Amino acid sequence: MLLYYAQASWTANANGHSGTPTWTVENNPVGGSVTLSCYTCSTTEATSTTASAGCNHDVAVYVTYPDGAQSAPLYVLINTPASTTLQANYPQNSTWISQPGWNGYQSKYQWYLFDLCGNGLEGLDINETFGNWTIDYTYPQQTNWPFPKAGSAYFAGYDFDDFLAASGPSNAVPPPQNPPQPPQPLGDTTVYHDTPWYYFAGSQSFGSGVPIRVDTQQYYQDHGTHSLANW
Amino acid sequence: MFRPYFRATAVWYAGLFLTAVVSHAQAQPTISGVNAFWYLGGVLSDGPGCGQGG
Repeated sequence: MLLYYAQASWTANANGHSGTPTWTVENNPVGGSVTLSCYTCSTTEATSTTASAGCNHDVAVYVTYPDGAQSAPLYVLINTPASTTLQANYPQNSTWISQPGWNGYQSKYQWYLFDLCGNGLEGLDINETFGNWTIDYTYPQQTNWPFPKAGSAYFAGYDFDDFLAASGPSNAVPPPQNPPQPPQPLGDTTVYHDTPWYYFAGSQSFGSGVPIRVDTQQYYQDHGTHSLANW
Repeated sequence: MFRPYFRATAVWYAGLFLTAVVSHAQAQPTISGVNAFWYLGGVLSDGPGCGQGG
């Protein structure tokens, strides 16, 4: 399993020079940056504070000894989850009946995640935040659908997904419907939407981690959508 | 009468004096450690979402 270390240990090799070296870091103002656990020491622990600008080793680190001898720079890439691609055959809309006699749907999106260099990622904590809700269904009376609850989970594999789901009784306003069977078209009755919807990687705490998707969630009477397929 | 003849001589050596300089050709310091690792985020200022249970 891929491990995502956010820290690195670096050791200065004196090569005959004496004394304790001093570390210098040249961060990219619009890219990667690190902080060090100590700056005059032989071994230091680097912690990433921002990601590199693209697949570039854009952080330069070097050591200088008391006699003025300086190392060649160590150029460092601070990688991060960076993009998502919707998998083929998604979204998938299916019937979801959470209680007998109810109707409803779940619309499933599944993405691949890629790092700054275009490599696929696996095994990451994910969380979502919803942003602000806007009620679309107001006539003849305002919807009484409850807002969904934000989710967080650890995804062990390459597949990262999200469900937009609704299930309710016939007296809900409007009553949730099962998705129509193709070739019948999906309905266009909107209920509510939220924006900006964020999908974060790297943490299960809501709002923490790296934002890897942002779009709008739209809940319809018989299905749900994300406004952007890829990001 | 024979008088010893002393001639002061001064012999100068105009050669090269080689100084044995022991030169320690010191190598450049280096850094060992990984040159790529990860950033997995901080906390956005707008905090967690406002989803309600339902």
